[in-house]
Amino acid sequence: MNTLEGLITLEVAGGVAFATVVLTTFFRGVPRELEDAARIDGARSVQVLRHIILPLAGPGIAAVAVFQSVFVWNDYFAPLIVIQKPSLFTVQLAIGNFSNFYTTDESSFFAGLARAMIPPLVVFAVLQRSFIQGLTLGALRD
Amino acid sequence: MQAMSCGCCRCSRLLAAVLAYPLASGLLLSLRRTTGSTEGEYVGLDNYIEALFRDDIFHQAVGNTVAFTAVAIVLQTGVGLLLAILISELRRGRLPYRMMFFAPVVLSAVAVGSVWKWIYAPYFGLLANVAATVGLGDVYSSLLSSQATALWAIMGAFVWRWAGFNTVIYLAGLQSISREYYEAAMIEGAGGVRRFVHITWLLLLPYTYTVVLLTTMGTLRIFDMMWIMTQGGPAARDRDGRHIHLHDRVPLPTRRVRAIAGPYSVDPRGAVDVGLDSHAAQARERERNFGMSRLMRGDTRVQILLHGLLVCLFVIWAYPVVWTLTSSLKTNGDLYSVPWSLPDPAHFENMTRAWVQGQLGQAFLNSAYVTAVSVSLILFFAVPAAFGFARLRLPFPAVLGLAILVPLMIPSEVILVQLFVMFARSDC
Repeated sequence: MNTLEGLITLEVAGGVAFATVVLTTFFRGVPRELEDAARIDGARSVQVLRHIILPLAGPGIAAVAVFQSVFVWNDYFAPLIVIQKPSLFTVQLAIGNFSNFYTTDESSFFAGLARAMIPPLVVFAVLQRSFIQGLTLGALRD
Repeated sequence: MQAMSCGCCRCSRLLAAVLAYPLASGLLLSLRRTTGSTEGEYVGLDNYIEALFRDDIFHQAVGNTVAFTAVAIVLQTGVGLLLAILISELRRGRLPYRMMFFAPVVLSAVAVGSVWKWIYAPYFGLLANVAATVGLGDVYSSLLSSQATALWAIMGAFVWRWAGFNTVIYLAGLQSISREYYEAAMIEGAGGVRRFVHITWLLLLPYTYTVVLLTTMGTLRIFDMMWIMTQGGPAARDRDGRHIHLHDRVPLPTRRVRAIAGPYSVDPRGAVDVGLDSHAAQARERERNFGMSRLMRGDTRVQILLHGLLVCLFVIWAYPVVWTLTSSLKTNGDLYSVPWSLPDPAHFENMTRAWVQGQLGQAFLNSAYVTAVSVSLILFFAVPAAFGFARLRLPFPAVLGLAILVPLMIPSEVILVQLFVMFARSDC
């Protein structure tokens, strides 16, 4: 409680389920024959995973990573519950807090908001395609 | 290769247990009367009965949720489909529109909520200024502070944030429709409306299903944006998510688990699969020739009209962000006196001040740390588990799959209250 590690525990618990479901469908897309061949050559499960599944499902894993990154970065509720110390605030908590202490200083509020919004938007503009792919993967695989 | 018991199997099983536990303990706890920190006495279904028959706030909350969800589904589907069709009719230059409409999805609910809170703000809010400019409306009160309008004001922000997501889904759907259908329909003499109803709408139904499902899930989990915009809303006209937070008894949210888990657990797997099964390989190939009629492609005037329409929508979509940026460079006085103009001179010291006062530097570091570690750990756990699900024979795969999926369908707030109780009891 009230540590970043506690927050990480919550985020991981919340994210693992979705990641597992999506990755399962990606892994099913890897041809079975490749795996069988590897097993005949004596590969164990861990080796199959490492040398066959991971390289072939790379884009899927990247998409999941993007999705989870955006989700964790933007999460407000978990930090709100876990973190109380201002020095441990995440960006979302900091923004949420602006409206409390900038009630009479609107331009500072906007400035803080802008500062917090610009980095994600810049990253999105640069990595636009993988973002759209990653974020819609719950609904389709483009 | 049969009956192989390896690390991956165990990992999958462990994962299912860990994910199901908070839900199960929540259900058990819902049968007790407690304030969260003690075991409490066993009261059977009394909590449920009280919620269903006596708790007015709960009634109102459920009513608000249903109404909000219904309207959100109609608006989200409508706006998403409209944007997708407009974009799909373009001959070239689709990318910037798609990017713009999708951009709000990347922003956090907190940021979106904050921006829209100020759009609705009295005196210098964007909407108040529009109303004043056209000479109507009461500019002295915020839409968010009135019982009649608060919920629907939030809807504006909600649609702005998510419509682009649906647009992308529908664009993919439109790509999957073969042009032969339209040509055949034209030869038979079907007009634009009939082509839309009988071909586009019909063939997009699976995608609509996905959109409706995701929108429903989204509205059920909208707590954060509501919280930022209204802090509970005027006279509790608000969503049920918040009552979890305020209610002094823990079982309340877990009552909702029943209501929400019930309908979803009918077939969550089918629902997720619908989207995931969509064919990926030929998608890019099709990108070049899709669109509802495609016959508009040849007509330059129609193309110009489409671009004009989309540019208008583009500006509307971009304005909240642009407005935040220009406002951030003004003094407080200028915000009120010249809301529309560009900042003159630009006050970059605002940025520095906010950065220091809001401790944003530290916050960025914290967020980066949490995000990096969390995502690494998620992948570390999820990759072997997914491998287990995908490849290895597991006992009762359906049960395990359900244990993983049910928590996905439930607003995280419900689980979080459980986690909070667990954390609090463990004294860490």
